[in-house]
Amino acid sequence: MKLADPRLVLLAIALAGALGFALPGHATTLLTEALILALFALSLDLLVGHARLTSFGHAGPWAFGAYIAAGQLLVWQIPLPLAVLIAGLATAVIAIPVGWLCVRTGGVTFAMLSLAFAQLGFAVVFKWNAVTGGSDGLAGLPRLGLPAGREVFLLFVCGVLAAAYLLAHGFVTSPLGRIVAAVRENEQRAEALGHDPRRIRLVVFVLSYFLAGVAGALYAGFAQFVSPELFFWTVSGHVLVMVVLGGAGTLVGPMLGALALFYAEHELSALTESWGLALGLLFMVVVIAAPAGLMGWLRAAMGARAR
Amino acid sequence: MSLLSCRGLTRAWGAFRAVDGVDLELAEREICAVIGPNGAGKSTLFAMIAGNLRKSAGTVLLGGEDVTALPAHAMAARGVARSFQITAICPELTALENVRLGVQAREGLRWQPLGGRAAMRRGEALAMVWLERLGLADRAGLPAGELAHGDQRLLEVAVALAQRPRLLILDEPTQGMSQGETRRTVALLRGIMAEAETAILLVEHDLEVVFELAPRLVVLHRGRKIADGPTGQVRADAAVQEAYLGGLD
Repeated sequence: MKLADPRLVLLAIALAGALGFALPGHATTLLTEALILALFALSLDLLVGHARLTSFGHAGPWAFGAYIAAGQLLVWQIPLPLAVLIAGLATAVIAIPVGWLCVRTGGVTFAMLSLAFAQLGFAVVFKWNAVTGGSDGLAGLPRLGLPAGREVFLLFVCGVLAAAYLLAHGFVTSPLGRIVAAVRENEQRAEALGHDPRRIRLVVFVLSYFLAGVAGALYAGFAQFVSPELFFWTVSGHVLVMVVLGGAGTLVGPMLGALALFYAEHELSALTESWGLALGLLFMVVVIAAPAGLMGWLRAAMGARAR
Repeated sequence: MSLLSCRGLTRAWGAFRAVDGVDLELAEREICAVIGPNGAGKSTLFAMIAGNLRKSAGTVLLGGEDVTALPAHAMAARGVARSFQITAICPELTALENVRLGVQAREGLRWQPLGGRAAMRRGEALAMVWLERLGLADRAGLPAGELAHGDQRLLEVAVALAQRPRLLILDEPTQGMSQGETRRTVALLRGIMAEAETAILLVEHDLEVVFELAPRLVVLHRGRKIADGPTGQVRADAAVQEAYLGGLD
């Protein structure tokens, strides 16, 4: 069985869901947050890994989804699963004009443009007090439509993560997903095959934003609180590190990268106040020792054993 | 009616006219080589026909349809496939998948975002046939970027052939190949041309290759067409001798 076999991934997610019934409450909460971040990193991998469009503004769709979910939960009091789905779809809709502008460029320009849109979101929610609560954010979001209990919420997150993974995996192996790979590899060749590179990149942009919006909405339901910090550029940098750390373009790797970074941060911050420094050093060691990320390192290790 | 009809094609950069008022007619399944010294405008002409480069003036009709303003991807969708002077393949994808993408384009399989396993397997089987035709079957599983230069050139031709085009544009297919590779490529191309259902426009520097492959010859010189006719006749043409062939000897 291959390391990135979808069945293996689904099994691992199911196991994580089952852990909620065994772990103490605090650990269950941590795991839930880690898995939401795994979904966030998965969504970015479609852009960075699969389409090689390095976004430095992925906090944008994440926070947008979170605020849309928060608004629905507070104003309409609708069930959380429905709010998450609607938030994802709303993010996908806003991704069409945003993406239309962003995918006209590539490289650093794309990174800066995506960052600009996230900063725009930050400015809007920060200033628009009446609707977004400004810098205070929106607190006390109800978690409707789900039975109470941390382990139930964890199961819900696992279900969404599994569905998102299947969607992403199905996409990259589909006819359209392979065209995305062709556009990434050689734009001139993709054109000569009859594909418009911009339209192809827009598709993957929208899908990536949809999943990031879903992740953000889950986070709003998890924290029961949203604030402008969700839009902040460090969030974009953070998730980008997760993707690179895990191994861009592998889908599984970035999810592992998210878990690794989240737990490393948690453990290090308990040990020392300068945990950011330790984390930076750790990141440097990983990037130098395993430039293809955790996934590349795992593959190499397993390949070496097989031989 | 001719398949391709170019009228007064011109590409100017400032005062410099890389291609200057070229007319070119090509019938269905006709094979035509374009020759000329370096900088004669051959690649520029092809780039305009395939939609990779905007035209400063002139029109292009494909099967009677005005395609002058269409971009490259729209031309490809209308049955124009091409190889480039600088090989354009997907280096990290396998040789097989490169060709399979050509098959996929032929089948118009584009906007399917999930599933498609069966179609992909069928496409791989077809792609394998093309790889066998070009003698690359044993390298099907290698990343295209790891193939030897000559094999990459052939792979690009295989991708274009898998698109089953109406018009195939080959920009120096033997560019950078050794003598042995060139001979092999010419033999392969001749076999393909004999049964292909496509018109072919060919740029080639190697005149031996040209004389062997193309029954019709067009000569460009400083952006202008100075000769157009059966290969034997053009070869004997005095003006061509002076502009090009003489310059080499």
